[in-house]
Amino acid sequence: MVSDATIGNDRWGLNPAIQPADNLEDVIFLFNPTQPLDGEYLRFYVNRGSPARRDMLTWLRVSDLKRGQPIRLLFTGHSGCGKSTELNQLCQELRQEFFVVKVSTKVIIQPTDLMAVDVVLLAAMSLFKQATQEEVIAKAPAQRVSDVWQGLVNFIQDRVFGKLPYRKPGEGLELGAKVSYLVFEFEAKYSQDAPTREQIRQRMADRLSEVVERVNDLARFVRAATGRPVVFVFDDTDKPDRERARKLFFDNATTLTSFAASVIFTFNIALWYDGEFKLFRDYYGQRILLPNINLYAHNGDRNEDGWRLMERILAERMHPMMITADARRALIEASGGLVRSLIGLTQFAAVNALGRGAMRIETPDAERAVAELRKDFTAALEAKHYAALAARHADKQLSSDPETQELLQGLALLQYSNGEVWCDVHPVVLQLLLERQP
Amino acid sequence: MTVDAQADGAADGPAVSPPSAAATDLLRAALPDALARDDFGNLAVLLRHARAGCWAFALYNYVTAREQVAAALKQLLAPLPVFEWTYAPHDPHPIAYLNQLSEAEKSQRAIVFLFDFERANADVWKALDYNRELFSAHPHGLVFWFTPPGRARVARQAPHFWAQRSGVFDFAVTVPPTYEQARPLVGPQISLGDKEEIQRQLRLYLGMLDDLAGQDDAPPLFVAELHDKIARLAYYLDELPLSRTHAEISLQLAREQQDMGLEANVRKALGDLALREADLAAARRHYEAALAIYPGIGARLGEANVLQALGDLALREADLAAARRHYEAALAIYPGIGDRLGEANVRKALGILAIKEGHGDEALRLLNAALTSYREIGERLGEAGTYMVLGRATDDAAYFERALALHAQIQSAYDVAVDSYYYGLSQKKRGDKQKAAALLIQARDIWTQIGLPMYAQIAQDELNGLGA
Repeated sequence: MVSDATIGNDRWGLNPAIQPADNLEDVIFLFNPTQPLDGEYLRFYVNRGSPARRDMLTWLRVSDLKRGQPIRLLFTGHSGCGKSTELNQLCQELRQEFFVVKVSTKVIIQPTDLMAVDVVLLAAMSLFKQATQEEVIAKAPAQRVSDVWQGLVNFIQDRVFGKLPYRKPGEGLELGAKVSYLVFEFEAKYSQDAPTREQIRQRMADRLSEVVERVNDLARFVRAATGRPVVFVFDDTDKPDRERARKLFFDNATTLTSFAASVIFTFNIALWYDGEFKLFRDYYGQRILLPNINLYAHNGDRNEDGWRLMERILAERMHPMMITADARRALIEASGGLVRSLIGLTQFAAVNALGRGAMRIETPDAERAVAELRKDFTAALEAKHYAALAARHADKQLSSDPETQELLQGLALLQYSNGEVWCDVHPVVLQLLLERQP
Repeated sequence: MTVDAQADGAADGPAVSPPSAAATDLLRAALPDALARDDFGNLAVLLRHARAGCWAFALYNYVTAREQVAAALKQLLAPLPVFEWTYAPHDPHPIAYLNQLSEAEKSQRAIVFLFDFERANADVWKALDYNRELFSAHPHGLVFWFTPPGRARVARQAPHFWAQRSGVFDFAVTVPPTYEQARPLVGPQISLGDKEEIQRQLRLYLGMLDDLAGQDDAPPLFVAELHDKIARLAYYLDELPLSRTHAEISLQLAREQQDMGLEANVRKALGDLALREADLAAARRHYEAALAIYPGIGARLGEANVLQALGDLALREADLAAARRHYEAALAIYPGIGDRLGEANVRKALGILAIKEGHGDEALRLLNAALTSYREIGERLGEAGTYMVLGRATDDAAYFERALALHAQIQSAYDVAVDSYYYGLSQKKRGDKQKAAALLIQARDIWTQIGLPMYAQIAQDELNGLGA
């Protein structure tokens, strides 16, 4: 069994030249709230001890790898809790044992327009492309490979494009290259040519079982050739708004779960609280929540493990000399245990420090970053919100009511879990709340 | 941190060296309130060092101050290129703007200023949330300029996008800019050089009206001229309802101020708007009203321009004799006042007239003369328009292709639609139904997008005729 990555080792073939920042310019670069860790930057990954990634690994190994029973996982968590980095790390760890196909729908389809037919088609094309690019061919009989590739070429040309105009691959190309070419042509047409996309959607909506069958055939072939089961990882199916996500996951549950390969879907957390979810959750097997990091316990006691974890996240990316202890404390406190918030606040504090000509982040730099966050919340929150926040601060109860969900989406309210799931007011908002209470 | 890690994070692009302390001090001393604070330097620090891209919010409450900060930032960040995108109803999504950058521009480090979200509807704000990962795929430093209400709106309506910002930089000032501070920012004439420059003037003048609202020291005539400039800039950006609103306000103010020259100019602008919207009767009314004023105040250029407009109107009405009479009257004026652009425009118009009259050789002579003039004076819009007319006259696809390429380069959506429409008709005549359909669809979609449904319907009728 592969253990968790530890910082500093090269288990994942990471570039040892990338080191924690030892100047403010590099702090600004490395603490980027828009970029989850991926590739060689996973060197900075910190195992947060949450069961989420461990559970996904275990389910995949026990169910699919050992028993040959593919599983479907819904992976959720609040915006900024670190889902993308956890998924990237998971994919890295799975690659030895699984044929990981990461499907990114966002580069082809706007989340506002994402439909089940897109999910199935894009998964299929991602698998086709990856199977021709990886050395599947080297591990299977040549004639069999040739038949499979020819089948895919025919399928894309005849069934997907049909009579629609598209650029045909050159006759001289080998079959595997033809598949790659046609997938590229499909992705270009599907992303840039709305009328063609609509026509393909209409054609394929009634033929999804045919697409799924192709996927399943190829998944079986890949498994037989490489010994690795296929696992699809969708890292952006949590991006559509609640209504579109409901249509996607509830109205098309049968379609989305029809692959004979394991699938991890990221899942809009708002649906987790949707009353209708209980009717569909069994389609998807396991549901995995990545909670925020607890800085305080339910009863308000300081949670030292959470603080140490946040300190490690900072220490992995920047040398300890780059920040004073007080500034570090202020940033962690203001993050509320939300990893992206900690990353963003640290970057902003580094900007403030460099802007005033300092060599490291000091308390005024952190305070200024926190002050801007506070102003953001002041601008965003309306009078009605404070009453709801005060109630949640008192009872710590999560619910599916729209106001609570709105406050969770806006991060004024944060969700935590330590066995039981509960919520509390963002620490920066708590200050505002206390000021407004009589 | 090692050099390797820096190289990994930095996309290709010009090297950026920080300005000297002395240069920064000099700049600060010369700058007003919004520029003298730390936020200005800090924003520059972020944009310079967030090498894998970022987005930040810049807060402002007066457009005059915002434009000063934006202009100073451009200087401070040089040689990093700075692009500008301004919200418009038919160009509502910044991600579409980023996607249409050239491959080199997409991969190089650059700064992009994004303006005027406050004019957008809720869907556009929500789209920021849905597109956040597409923004993060760009290596650019994106600066979203928001007012304080905009700051609240982005946090409420695009909370995930908001949560990924790299910082908020405050350029709000306590004292509104005075007329004396605003006046030097307004040029005597509008500049139609390129789309970004037209957008810059439009957002500045719109914002300046807000900045000056309620201030006693702003002369009414200055305000009237601002409205007139906004009307004409909006017209060139195909924002026709906005153009009409400001033209009508300007007309009213010009009358109150008894400024005959401004009144005639606004009348001409309203005529152009009516002609664009195919309201020929209204166009005639406005043009004739302008023509009644110009000679009396000795405005020869205005007189020639409105004569040519009346010629265009007559041509639309198929009154070829009247069109010739007006064009020749205009052509008699332009050389005398040394206006080569006006002269070239009339020659092009006479070329079109000659085509309608069936005088092919005469048409080609006039169009080539116009083309030569446009090239000599560097007028790309006129050059592109002449290629389109030559395409119509000869059915030569090469002319249409050149017209389309030039209009696309100039980013004139309306003209791209016109080129596509006539190119489509030409292809239909030549029997290439597939290409004709693609071109007509393009024309229809652009006209729909910029709010000209009557033209979109004409393109749709032609498509129906194709069986498409």
